[in-house]
Amino acid sequence: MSGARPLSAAQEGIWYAQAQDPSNPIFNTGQVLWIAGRLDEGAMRRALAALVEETEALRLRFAEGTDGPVQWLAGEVPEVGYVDVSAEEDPESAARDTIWQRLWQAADLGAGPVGHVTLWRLGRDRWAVSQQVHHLAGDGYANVLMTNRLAALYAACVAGEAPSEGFAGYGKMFEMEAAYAGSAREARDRAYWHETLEGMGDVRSVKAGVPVSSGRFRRVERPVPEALREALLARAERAGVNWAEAVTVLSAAYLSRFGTEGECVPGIPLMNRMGSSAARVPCTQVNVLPFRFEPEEDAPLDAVLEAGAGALAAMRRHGRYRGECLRRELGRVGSGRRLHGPLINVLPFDPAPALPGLHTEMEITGAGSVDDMTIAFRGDARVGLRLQVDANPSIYDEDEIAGHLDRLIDFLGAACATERLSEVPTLTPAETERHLRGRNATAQEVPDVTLAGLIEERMRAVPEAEAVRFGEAALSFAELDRRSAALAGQLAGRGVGPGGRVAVALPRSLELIVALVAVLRAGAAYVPLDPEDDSSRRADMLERAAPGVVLAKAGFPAEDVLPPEDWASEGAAPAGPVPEDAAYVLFTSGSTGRPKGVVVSHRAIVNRLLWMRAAYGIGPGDRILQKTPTTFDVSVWEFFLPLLSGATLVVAPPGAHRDPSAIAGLIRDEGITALHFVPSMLSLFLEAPEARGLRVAHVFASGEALPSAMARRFHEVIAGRLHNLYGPTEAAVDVSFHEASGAEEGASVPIGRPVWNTRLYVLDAALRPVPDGVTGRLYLAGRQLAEGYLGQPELTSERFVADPFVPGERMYDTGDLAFVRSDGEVVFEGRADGQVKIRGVRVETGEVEAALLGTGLALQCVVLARDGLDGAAQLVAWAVASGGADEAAMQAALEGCLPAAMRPARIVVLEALPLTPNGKLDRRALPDPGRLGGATRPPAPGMEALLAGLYAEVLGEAAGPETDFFLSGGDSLKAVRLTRRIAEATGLDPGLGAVFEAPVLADLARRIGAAERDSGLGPILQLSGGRRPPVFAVHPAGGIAWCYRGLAAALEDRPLIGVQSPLLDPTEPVPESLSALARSYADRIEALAPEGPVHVMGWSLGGLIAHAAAAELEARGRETGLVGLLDAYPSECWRNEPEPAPGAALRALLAIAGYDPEAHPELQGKAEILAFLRDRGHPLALLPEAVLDGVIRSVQATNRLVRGHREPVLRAPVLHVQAALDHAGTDLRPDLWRPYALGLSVAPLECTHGALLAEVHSERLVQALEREMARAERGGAKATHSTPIKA
Amino acid sequence: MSDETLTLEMMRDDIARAVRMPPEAVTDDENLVDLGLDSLQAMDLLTKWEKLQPGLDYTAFMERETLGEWWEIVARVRA
Repeated sequence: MSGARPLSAAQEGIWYAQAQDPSNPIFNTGQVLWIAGRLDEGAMRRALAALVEETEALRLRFAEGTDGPVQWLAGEVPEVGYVDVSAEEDPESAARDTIWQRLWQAADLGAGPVGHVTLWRLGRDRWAVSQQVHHLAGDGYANVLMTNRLAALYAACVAGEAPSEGFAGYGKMFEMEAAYAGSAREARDRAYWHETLEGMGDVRSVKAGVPVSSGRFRRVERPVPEALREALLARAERAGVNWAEAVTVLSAAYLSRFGTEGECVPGIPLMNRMGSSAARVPCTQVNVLPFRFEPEEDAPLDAVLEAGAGALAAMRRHGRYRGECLRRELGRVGSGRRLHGPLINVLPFDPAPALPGLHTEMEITGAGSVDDMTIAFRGDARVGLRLQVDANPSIYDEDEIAGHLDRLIDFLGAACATERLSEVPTLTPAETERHLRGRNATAQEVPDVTLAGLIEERMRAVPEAEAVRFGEAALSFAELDRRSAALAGQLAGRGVGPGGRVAVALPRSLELIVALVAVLRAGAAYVPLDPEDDSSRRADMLERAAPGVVLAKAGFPAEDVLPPEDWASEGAAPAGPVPEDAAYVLFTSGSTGRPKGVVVSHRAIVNRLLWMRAAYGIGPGDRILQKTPTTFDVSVWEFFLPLLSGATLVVAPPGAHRDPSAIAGLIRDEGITALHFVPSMLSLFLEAPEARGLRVAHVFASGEALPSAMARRFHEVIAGRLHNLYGPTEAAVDVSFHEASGAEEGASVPIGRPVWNTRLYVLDAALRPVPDGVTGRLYLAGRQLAEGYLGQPELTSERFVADPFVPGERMYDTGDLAFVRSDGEVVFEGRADGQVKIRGVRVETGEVEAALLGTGLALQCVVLARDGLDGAAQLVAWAVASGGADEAAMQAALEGCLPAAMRPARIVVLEALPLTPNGKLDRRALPDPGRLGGATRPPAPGMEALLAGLYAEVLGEAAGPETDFFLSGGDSLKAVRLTRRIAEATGLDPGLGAVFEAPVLADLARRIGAAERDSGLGPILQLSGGRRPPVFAVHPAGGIAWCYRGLAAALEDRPLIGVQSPLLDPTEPVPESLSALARSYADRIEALAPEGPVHVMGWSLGGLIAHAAAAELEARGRETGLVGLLDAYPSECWRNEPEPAPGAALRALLAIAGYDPEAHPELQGKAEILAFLRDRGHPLALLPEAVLDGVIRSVQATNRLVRGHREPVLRAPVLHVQAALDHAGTDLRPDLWRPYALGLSVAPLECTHGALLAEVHSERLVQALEREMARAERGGAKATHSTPIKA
Repeated sequence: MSDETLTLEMMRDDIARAVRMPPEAVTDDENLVDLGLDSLQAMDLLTKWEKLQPGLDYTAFMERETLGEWWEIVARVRA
């Protein structure tokens, strides 16, 4: 092979993976042959020399060419290494350490070597041969070829014979590729794969986590037990498959147990050497292809094994088609898109070739990258087998990997002994015990009483205590007792009792409390209705509840209304309920259109309330705020927990629950010790100024996922404990709890562990418990389950099913998805269906859809939740109109059918709903409701506009902020081209990885922008940190604020924020005046210092800009503290200066770097100046061309702006620091500022202009500046006299 | 130790079973990779055949494409 050639398809994939992180050593493959015995050293050295000569791949070099990466063979044959470690204390460890160290260094692919071979002398009779080859040059098979060849060469040398035929030349690899490319075979293979992978959804792994090459991998391994080996052989034989196929299919079945989204498609690496001339050439040929096979869990296992083996055979038949090509053709390139998930590999034992007269052992040191997880069976089931699980350590920890290993062993064993996969548990027996029983050991004695009974007990115990407060009015327990007893008796007189229901539709008030307690004491269940809701939905609920009496204000549209004015005030309570009786019926949204009435018994709610009382120590002295609407089950504990624990129930005024300030006021004024928030309300509450510093003993959050960030924020604002509770209406309010410390990792706070006498199960579709970390469906069991749905027995039996783990009991299917952490805390993940939470209220989108269709104005519709501008979920509907109806008409029609909380925020009228090729609704194609009527938003000026141009250039089509590079036709090669163009245009190389990780234009723009800020060239440059108010330092002529570094270092606990010029960015236009520039700086400064006195300063021309910015801030009403002019002189001094010649602007770089240009008259050209700076290691010299041009542009433009400037007048005090050793004999004097700075004070410093910011002066300078800043911050008198800065 | 010798028909049957095809489909000149035979299966077969006929070179087999060529290797070694 001569000259450079393109890479093979096999190599390309590896090249681009390596290019994303050139320093990643994971692509080094390698092995070590450990040798014991009397080695013929001479023969071995000759054999090694011959080996490296024969193995042309070791001479490979790689580099990026104009049309993609290329490879060529370097001239020289690499030398064989020789290392004698026999003198070391532990020679084997010494060799091993060095071998591993070298393995962990990335190869220099352009300069070589891509691999090496080394002979190690450990002792007279102990040796080792290590080889290392970059995956681009050789794969596992290549390594085996090399070692086997070495053995053959050694044997021949020792015997004095000629060796057998050697390796073919590397060029053979290209022959093979060429023979396949464009052949009929390739076409057949391509057709097979496209047909087999047709419609493949997102490929999932066992754990969420984007596969990214890590530098290492973690391995856990075990020998396969003898008994299991035999069982596998027997089972394979029975099914008519070979053992390798059997373990592959069963491992695929194991992997499919993890997760529910998308498809499980393991990757199978094929060696691809059969029948090819490349079989005798070390090179890289391995091809990983997707094994798309659905193991039917209910079919006979033999049939599944047979079908799986058939699919594997078909895969092998078409195994020459490159996985890399499939990836490209199917658009599975870039962040998060997979062609396959974890790998399953069956390999022979690591063969240690026999060397005559010696004992050998083989150790594989590097097998290439493990992006995710690899399950490898090494050996032969007939002889001995090892199971290895290798995984990416950035996704899996050691315990997780070991867990998979143990589980897989048990899984294989159980599979061999069953007829169906559905009977094989996913978990090991120990895990099953822990998940089902250990974590659910919540048995707790609870007295067999009713809620009515508990309240009565308390009322009798502390009759004089305050039970309820409502504004100025209050009720003692004795009064509550009397009035509720009377009303209860009155209800009983009307025939209301156990088994019956009473609707309660009263606003928050004392009457409401009396009513609820009365209904309970009468033995009936209360059915809360919203007095404000007059929709047909409420009417329907009322009808189905069929209450005996309705407790509501007079005039309520129902029969049997008993308004408060007609309530009895004296009378005895009737017998009351028993624990099995219903305590309340709450209606929740139904997916088929009608709301469901959930019936909860006393027994269930008593468990919940007594648990809460004990868990949080609620008792007399506590004051609980009642603000949640009665129709939401959170209100149940708000009402009754205080009444049964002796605490005071403080009822909030109607409407207060929506007003954060009002709530904060109530908490303060009423001394509230416990209250509840739905997270979206909590978010608003935490932002209210009145909430700062509140002390509340307990805040409970439930109804929606609680973001970890919100928990953190809570602890910054409020002094108190935050508890995250979870539970559907169907399980007596809440079934789990977790205290939120604010230090939670992950997006949301866990929902935690079960309450008393309650069990949580996270199960897969076959109702088997899932492993920790894997998403499953959440089921609940225990004492808190509701009785069922009122009048809907079929729906009840659908959702309340038999508990498979506790015979005779029921469990409830929440429809929520969750996973369990390894510490046993459950984490909520989302819904399995269309149910959403709007401000914590459960809404079935199906019910809203049914209502919309029911208006007759829509033929088809879909309703989804979308995040609104404030991040809270809103309902959006898309509808196909009937008879020309528009959004307004539909909204009007819905008003009568649904309560406000369930009406969509927007209804988008469409001609037709978008469908996928399969005929299903294509959610992603639904038009965004916010962006209707126009094109998608244009690119923002600056980086987005720049990228839009570059994307269009590389992709050949127009691009916008939402354009995804890879989905719009980009591939790896084009991505490289894009990064190069970005580097040329901006001076910043984002790295290939950035495009893979952020292919959407707007995301990439953000990322590059962030990098820009980190490069020290962004508009803001923070040079020091601290808690005191910041001081802003404006750049001098060159546009960069690096000169303030020394000063920043000398400050104490005070941030110094450099303000840098927009002219550094080549895409930014020149400001029209210095005032305009100063205005934009004032904006920037205000954004970072929104309150308090502002400190701003500038050196040289920066001082003029700082002065103008300070005047702008003063005009905006801001108070300035320090206004520091560091040897700066007003614009009139420069007005008649000539425009600096380009050369002068260039030489200004020297000044910016801190060198006196006058002292270096010989440095005139850019190259010389840069060389000068580079030799001195100045960072300025390392800036990309484009940026240096920006600096020069800034020097020229800023000078020009200064010449055209007229100073505004600044009233606030100004401190001028004069470089006293300079400007002698010139007109530059501090008091030139007097017309423009009414409060001027001057502080001379014994230094020259250029040295003012030097380290030697910084301490004294800081003293003077701090004096001014401190004075302003104290609000003290302003100085108006000169104070020389003394040592 | 078996008295059996390795025959062409034995090899044909073994290959057919490995690729789940009838023996008639495994002709002397059918490309083995086309049939779906892979390296691991080849190694498995060789391990089995080596017991009846020692001295078979794995890489030699891997380079060949058809049963006919494989049989030639066996014949040569036997000689």
